[in-house]
Amino acid sequence: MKNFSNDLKSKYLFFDGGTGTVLQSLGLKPGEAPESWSLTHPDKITELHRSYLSAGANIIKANTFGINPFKYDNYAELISASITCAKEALIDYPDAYIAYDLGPLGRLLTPLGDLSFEEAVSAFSACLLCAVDCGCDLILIETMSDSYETKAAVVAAKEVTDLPIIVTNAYGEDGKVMTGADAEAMSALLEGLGVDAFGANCSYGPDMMLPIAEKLLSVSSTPIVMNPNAGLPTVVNGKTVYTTSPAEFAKYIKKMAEMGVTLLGGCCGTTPEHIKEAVKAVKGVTFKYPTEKNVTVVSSYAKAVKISKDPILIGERINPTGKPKLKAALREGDIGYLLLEASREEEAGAHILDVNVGLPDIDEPKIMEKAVKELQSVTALPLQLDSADPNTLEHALRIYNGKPLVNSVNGEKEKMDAIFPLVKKYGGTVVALTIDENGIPDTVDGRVEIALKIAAEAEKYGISKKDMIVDPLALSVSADKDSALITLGTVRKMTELGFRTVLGVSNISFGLPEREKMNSTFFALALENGLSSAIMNPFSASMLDTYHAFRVLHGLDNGCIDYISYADKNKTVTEAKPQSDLSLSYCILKGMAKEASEIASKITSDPLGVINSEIIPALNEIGQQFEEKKAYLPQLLMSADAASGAISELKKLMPTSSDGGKGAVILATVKGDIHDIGKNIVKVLLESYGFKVYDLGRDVSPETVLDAVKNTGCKLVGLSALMTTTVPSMEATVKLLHSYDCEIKVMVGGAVLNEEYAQNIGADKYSPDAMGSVRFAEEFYGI
Amino acid sequence: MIKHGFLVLPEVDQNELRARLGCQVESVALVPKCLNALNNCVSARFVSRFCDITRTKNGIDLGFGKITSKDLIKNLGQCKRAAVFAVTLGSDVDRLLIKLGKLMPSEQFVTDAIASALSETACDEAEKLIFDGISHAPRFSPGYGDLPLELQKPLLTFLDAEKTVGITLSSSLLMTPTKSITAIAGIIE
Repeated sequence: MKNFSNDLKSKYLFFDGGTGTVLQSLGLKPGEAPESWSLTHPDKITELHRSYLSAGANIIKANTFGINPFKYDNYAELISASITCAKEALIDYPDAYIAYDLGPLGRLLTPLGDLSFEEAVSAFSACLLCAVDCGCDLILIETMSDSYETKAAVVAAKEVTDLPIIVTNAYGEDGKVMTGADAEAMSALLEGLGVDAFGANCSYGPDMMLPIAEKLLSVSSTPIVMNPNAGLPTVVNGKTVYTTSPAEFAKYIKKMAEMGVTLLGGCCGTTPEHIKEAVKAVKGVTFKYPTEKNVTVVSSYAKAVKISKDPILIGERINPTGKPKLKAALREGDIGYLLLEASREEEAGAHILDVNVGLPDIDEPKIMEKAVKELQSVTALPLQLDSADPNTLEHALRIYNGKPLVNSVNGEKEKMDAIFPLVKKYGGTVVALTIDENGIPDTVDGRVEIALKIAAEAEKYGISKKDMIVDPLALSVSADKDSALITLGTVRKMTELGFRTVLGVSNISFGLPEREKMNSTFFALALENGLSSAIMNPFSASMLDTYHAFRVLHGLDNGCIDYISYADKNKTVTEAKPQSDLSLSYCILKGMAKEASEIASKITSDPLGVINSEIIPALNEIGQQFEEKKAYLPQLLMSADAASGAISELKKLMPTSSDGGKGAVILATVKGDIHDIGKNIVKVLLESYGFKVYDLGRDVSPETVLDAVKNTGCKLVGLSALMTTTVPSMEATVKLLHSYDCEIKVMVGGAVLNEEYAQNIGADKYSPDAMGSVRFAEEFYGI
Repeated sequence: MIKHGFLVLPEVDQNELRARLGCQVESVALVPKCLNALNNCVSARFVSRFCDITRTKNGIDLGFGKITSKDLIKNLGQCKRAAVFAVTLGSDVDRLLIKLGKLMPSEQFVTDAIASALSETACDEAEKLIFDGISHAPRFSPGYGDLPLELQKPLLTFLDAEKTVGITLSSSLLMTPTKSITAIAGIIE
């Protein structure tokens, strides 16, 4: 009996090679889809499989690469026919395996494209259900050039079947997949998801794949696959020819085997002859199963962050506790504030961002999902998903594009039962708090014992200790004089036991004055005891000073390069800055955002008076210049930015409940359209004029717009569309809103619209430019 | 024959940029900052394929279906062959634009204008590589005149654009990465 997991551990396995090139030699016309031949020429497809099996391939790829519900209505029929061909070929080769070959859907996922993560999962699931039903031995997800689509395919496969899952990505010359992930980031994601083997295919010639193989092998404890092309295509006598001969191809495959790659085969341009030579060349190379790398790593769509003895800073600012503005923003579903905070944390030097949106009276899973989606479209940093609610964590884990930190599990049975299955399914490195049903032990040994108990339980799920970070819990030293010593002792002990650690450092000073002084010293002590990461405030100068100095003193900052660049940026300023004598209205008129905010931040009373006497007149002046074509859109926008910055400074003087505004406007770019630039311009201007804007984003369905009207009570809606192809969804939105309530006024704008077109689709107002929408809003609210 | 590769781009064309910004480039203080951030994200690539122009009763065929666009037929004149090509600035540019849209809309506007101008510059560079001195008609894109956007789908398939340069189509026929251009240009013999 064949057994794939045994074979995977004990011998080289060979995939077959290219399909298109071989089928073209059998009569497939250029432009004709190879998968259509499973129905029209099944004997030829079976012949193709046989030729690879006789060349020595152990795994044949069913002729299903291009099949999915977006491309074929009869996808089920095609999958079934393709697998039948493969089964037919296997009759004489019973020890070989049939891989169901799952390729990209041909549409890009959000935020870059318009396909949602769940739509992608559903499309993959539909195919996988057919494939499993027809009978295949393993799932091969290949030529994926987007980490997010890769994750959608793997999640679908894990939900549909227990068959082995193998993933190969297509990398560009820059060593990254098309949407930005490098080999380390892909490795973190795929090992986190627990696939059986992964690697690269396609990606130019075998020579270009060597550096990718090397990177993957250096970080992965999972078997690595390499299925290269036969070089780059060129054209000889009108025919596409691949340049790498079977003998040369085999040399590279042998080299890869010697490096430690254990699954080998070919992609575009390779033939049974290539595979035959490759099999021959690898004979005699000693089989090496990958060693355990023991790397603790998390990742984003772009990069991996290792948690090791070089400490990592986890920004703590996205957490509503003690932050009334963030609380108010979350209650309103306003994610913009949170995104700005994230961007500032990244700039300040955080390596990972903690995200917590827990408030008693909000729909936490929904807001968390929204926050994570938005955050991963503005920051390349990995996230720490932070919630006490397992359901919230599941929502966030599912749609996260990478391998996150998960905050947290603890020693309580119930908690472990809820959290570990999630980490196992979606991947993640989990923070383990040293607390259980009996509370927090007041000894080092007690806390260590809980950490070990959690590790043992995790092991039962196949989650190893490298995917766990122990939090020995910093507690207020003012309440217990020994509290810091217990925490520090536990950090040291866990480090000695080979665990990574994390602390919410600032808890130590709770209840004391001048907390930063205490925090930075405690941070230094914890680092000295081996702390590998800290949840901290990246805007705190004393914490960053400690971090940068520690790295130099511990030999982690070669040549003091990071320290010097940090010190350069943060020189202690001794001389007073010259006082600016510019007026606020002048700065706004000239679009000087920084200066405008600075002046506004020094104002101490009567914020509304300042807005009315300085900001609004300046905006009116630039607005008038724009309408008279004396100023242009960039100047108008820069003035609006300057005004918004000044207003947000002034708002600090107003009570939180007041939006200081004249009325509200709902804005959206319609379903199917991802060009949101026009909508964003309108938003900036409306906000600078003091309107409250509910920004629903882009690619927004009519129903979502109607929901926003219902939830906010706002009856003024602005819609934008850039393409002729998306105007119908604008029309549908207008109709839906008017049929709900004819008092709702809809203004529309966008490159393809004009007055007449706007009337045809039933809009109440056509706005030719951004100022037009401000004027209409003023009219609507009788200003 | 499908040919594809990277493009090294010269400075963005100032006339093109002025047209996109709607005003003098020098009067927009944000341009240098935005240009710098954009340049760090651009990874310009092209893919091209030559084809014969087959004239049928009331249209033409370039190898990916019948085209009845009068404007394209006029543009191609007497040409017997044409190059079909696609150019993209890559998905990192989209990531930058999305980020700026959420954080700094005025920078998004300026960066978007520069990127649009730069994609035309990228087309000019691609044409140099594709035609290599052969004279050709001005490029013509789906969406111009009466050439329908629906043509994007067979055209991109013809170029194997998803695999060669990473361009895909959304359900409403938008190209992603958004700073991408497809075009047809006849060869003048």
